[in-house]
Amino acid sequence: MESNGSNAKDAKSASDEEDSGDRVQQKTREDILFHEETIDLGGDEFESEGNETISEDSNNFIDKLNEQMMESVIISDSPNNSEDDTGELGCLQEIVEQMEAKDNQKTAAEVSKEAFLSNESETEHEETPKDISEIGTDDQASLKEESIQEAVKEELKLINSIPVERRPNNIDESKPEDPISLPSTGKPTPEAEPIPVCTIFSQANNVNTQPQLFLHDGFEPQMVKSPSFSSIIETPVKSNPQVVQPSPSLSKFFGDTVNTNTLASDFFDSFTTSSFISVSNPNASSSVPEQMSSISSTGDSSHASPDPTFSVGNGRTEAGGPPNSLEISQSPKPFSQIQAVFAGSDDAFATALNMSELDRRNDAWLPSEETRNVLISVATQQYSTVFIDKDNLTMPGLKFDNIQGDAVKDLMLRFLGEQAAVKRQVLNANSVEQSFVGLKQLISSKNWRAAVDLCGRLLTAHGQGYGKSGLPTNHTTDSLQLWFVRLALLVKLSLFQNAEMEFEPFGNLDQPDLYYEYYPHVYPGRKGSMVPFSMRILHAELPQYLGNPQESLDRLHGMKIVCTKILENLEQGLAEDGSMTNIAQENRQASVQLWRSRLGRVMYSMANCLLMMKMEKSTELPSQTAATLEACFTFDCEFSLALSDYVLAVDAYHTVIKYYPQQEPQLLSGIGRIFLQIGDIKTAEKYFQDVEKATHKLDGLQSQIMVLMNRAFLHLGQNNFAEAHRFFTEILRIDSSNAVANNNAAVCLLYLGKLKDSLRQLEGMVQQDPKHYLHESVLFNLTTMYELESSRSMQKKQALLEAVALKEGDSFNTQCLKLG
Amino acid sequence: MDVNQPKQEHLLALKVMRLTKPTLFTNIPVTCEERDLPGNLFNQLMKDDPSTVNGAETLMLGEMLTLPQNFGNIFLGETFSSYISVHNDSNQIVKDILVKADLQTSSQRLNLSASSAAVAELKPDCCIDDVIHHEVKEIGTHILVCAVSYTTQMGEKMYFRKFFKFQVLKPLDVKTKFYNAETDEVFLEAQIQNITTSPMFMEKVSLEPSIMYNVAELNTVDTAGERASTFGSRTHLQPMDTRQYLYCLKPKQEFAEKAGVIKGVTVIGKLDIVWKTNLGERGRLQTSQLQRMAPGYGDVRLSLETIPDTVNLEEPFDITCKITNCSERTMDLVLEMCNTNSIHWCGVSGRQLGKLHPSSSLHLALTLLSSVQGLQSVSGLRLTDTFLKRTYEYDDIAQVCVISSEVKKES
Repeated sequence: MESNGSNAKDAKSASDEEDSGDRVQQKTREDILFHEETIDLGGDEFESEGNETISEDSNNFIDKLNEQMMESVIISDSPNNSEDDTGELGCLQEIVEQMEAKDNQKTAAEVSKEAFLSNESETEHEETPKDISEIGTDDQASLKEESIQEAVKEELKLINSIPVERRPNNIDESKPEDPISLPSTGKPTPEAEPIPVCTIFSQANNVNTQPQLFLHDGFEPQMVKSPSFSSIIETPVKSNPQVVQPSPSLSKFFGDTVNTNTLASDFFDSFTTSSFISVSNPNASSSVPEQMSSISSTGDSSHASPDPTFSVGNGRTEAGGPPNSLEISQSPKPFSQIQAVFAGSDDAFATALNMSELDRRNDAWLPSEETRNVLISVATQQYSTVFIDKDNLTMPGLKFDNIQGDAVKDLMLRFLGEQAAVKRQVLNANSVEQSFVGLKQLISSKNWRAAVDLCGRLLTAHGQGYGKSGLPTNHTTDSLQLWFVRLALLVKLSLFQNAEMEFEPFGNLDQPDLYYEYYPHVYPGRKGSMVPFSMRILHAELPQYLGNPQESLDRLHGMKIVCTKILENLEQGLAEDGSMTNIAQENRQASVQLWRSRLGRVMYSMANCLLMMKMEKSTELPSQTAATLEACFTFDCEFSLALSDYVLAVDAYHTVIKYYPQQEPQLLSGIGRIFLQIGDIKTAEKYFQDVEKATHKLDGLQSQIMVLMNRAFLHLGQNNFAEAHRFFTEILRIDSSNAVANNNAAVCLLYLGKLKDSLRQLEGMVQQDPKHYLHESVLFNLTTMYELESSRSMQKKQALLEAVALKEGDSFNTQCLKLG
Repeated sequence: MDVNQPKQEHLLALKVMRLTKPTLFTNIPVTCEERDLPGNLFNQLMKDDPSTVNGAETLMLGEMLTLPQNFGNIFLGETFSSYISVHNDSNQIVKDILVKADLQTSSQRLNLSASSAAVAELKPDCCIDDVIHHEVKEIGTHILVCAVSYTTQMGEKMYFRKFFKFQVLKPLDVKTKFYNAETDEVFLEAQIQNITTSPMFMEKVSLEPSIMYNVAELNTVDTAGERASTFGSRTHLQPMDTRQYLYCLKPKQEFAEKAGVIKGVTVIGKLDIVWKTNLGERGRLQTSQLQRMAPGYGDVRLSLETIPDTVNLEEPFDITCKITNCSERTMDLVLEMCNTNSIHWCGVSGRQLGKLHPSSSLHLALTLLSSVQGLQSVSGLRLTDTFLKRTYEYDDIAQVCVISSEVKKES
């Protein structure tokens, strides 16, 4: 450490520079690899507080750099970008202020100075003043004017006041001789006592000189240092502020910007002002084909999709079966009255049906009590009016017309020119048959954006198009399947906000008009939910991608209850919905199998969601959360409230194994990787050993690969990249097309300092089978290495773009090419 | 305004990338059932996706490694690793290339380059690669200074440098508290808080005692022969969470005997903390020597060796005291026993205990009885040093529960 004397000397030289007006700001922007690094050469920041803005002409002084400046390198404290810095800082300060206010305790802000780096040793390397300027010229092109925040003093103040801890218990009686005990020690004060701040390099005299400022709870701050660090600790180090910058997760990195369209309601007047409307079944008399091909030939609605003929005001509809068309009421009866009217047994109804086994098994769902009552009333009172609150109806509509076309093509236009872009040919919604066949074609060719578009068209034909949200409509098996596909694709495209918008009218997927019983004339005798089970899963999983895993867990828990109940019903010899239908043994068996696998799927989602929670790096787990989590799992496994989400995720995956025993080796490996990720190598190893015992469930080759893969990961966890590389390479020996092993071996090579070899491996892999290996993770690694390799990464990235253009559909995530 | 500073294109390009551990790619599983519109299309798409787990596509956490996307945070005690690549961007051979990587901290400058030898020549489109590692030992600003010097074909000597600055943050907050037991044992309570933003796996938190003490870690519970951690199955520490570790330190026999030795400020030992984060990224820190002020006992220390916890009313009971000379001189002691309103001493008051040398001790058996029920304080011992005519008073040396003898019989 430097003495005060040398500090003073440097400070003097710094002010000299200030006088002469030589203020040189150097900023080395190192593309993405190192973010924007800000290096300030020049001492004027030394004692400045507040913000320092680089003047426009700061570059003009590059030529005036002299050797003296090189000696003193002052570092600005803005880590990556100045806005973040101040943001975080502001936040921190607020917390501190709150704490101070709470404790009525003013902590002294020790004014110490920004760490000052003097590098006398460097002078020997300076050959000419000219050299110095080259630091700048090298990156001249990317120099940008940007203000740099200097907040040294505030930050230092923070250091001295951050960890103020409140301890309610006073347990000091037993240590009467505490050298730094204070008047309050031993006195049983019920209030919390703040204790001194702990800086890592707190000095002993710190405690002695300012003890009266702090009440003491008996805990002492401890100096923490690296074990091998001996020489410097004796002197107080001017610690720098800790501006913790959460590193964005991968999902954030690849995140798509979401386009939001204006609400449909802006364009359409509200349909009714009354909250009660009458509902009719427009197709009541016409038989609607239930086959999936029903919306086949055109997008025009004449045949397949029924007109949205909902009547308001007068009860007669053109298409409708007059007897059961339901009338709007100006003075609706209270719901209790309706219930009274329609109170009846459903047995007659249930037994009268002859549903196909498969339909019953698949569509079964348990509606909520309220929905159930409405459905019973619809079934039993065909000649009277059923009043349904508008809020209880599902009125979906497209919320946006068209999601932006082909990002690959846009990039080609930008980087490769029009000529190249013309060559890019992908299917779009127009180039395929306007039917389910065309839709599947788009999906399998990975043109999901176009597929979303086509779903939209088919839904428009069904009367649920753009702007139709909030308008009464009717549902069919097909319309719900179309919604499912559209929403699933939006999720696959990471357009979560869009998916959420369009999911919103569906509520909790339990409204009466989403059940077959609601349309007795369209689907005579059919029971259960029109909503595909997979759509429920999608609906439940969605909130976790939008930062609300709690909601996801709640929804999944709800699904789990229904699945469990259905399985219970089946075990008790009832039908799925609890009715007394006779089911043949083999059908019952098939149904149990189906619902067990569905329950397993729900558990899978729960486990994934719990795992995501930890990846989101959520810093706090509110007590309410913990309670919810516990509620989720008391069924299957026992654990206490205090356990954290990792443990929950692992337990949930264990539960999944019960439902999918054939996936045991994969799941155990997955759990092992979870432990690797948190750094618990020992437990990971234990799981990997369990995998080796369970691999008989796989075929020989697959089990061999899995064992090798896990061993490689274990070496990775032990920082042994060479061994990890050896195992990944071994996998390639038995399965040369293994993408994961290929990619991972290349990553290991980079860590071993073999950039060129690593690049060769990845490039070889991409060229060998571009159809499979143009995966975003592989391309991301490749572009990162290109950036590291040379200044000409742009050309290589563009070559990748061309390769992508040939093979990939419009759903390709172009972010991984980092063409920015 | 680079008028008199002609722009100089360097033939070599220097690129640096911090090598944090790679991360595992996570995918977004979207599944459907056979009877749904897409049939098995969604499931097939997931099967074809190389980032999913073969046979368990719904599992989010895949096996594909991705390179670090940003610099991330670096904490004291962790290892800073970085890739340094010098690439010949030109179409000519460059000679005598010397790449030097130094790390400048607030107190020192370290050379991190693996080799200091110059590379004789570098062909176009070739690289000089180096991976540097450095265990971070200081908090605050660090600057990685990479200097490259080389000679062009024309024989011109060229030189450039690049700076990369990063902040080293503090990962843990450690607080300690000592409890002194009557028996010379010292209990240490250490609170360790994770002040990073990611979970930490605490691999090891141990107390390395100083030579005077033996340590027993009290962080496991013996249940059915298995030592289970007091923290349960939760092996990691969430951000901002604090764990409390407990240690019991016993002075070693040779030091315990010489009572005078453990006096004043003593060094207890230091905490050694090893943690791991993402994919086994390791960090290790030690606290400075923990110090405690041993309780001062004055010149003469009187401590209790044995005492019953419960005694009968008005029945004599025995206690054993240990008297230690903590001063530097020999003492000649006289013991007086003064009754209080509940405690009555038996035996002769004012008896000579004889000479007591520095750091030596003697044991004393005393008999007393209590005339009052309840929790009674043993008080009233007086030691007088006849050399200096100084009297030391010992009150409240222990408490004893006094019950009526009938109650005891019943129970």
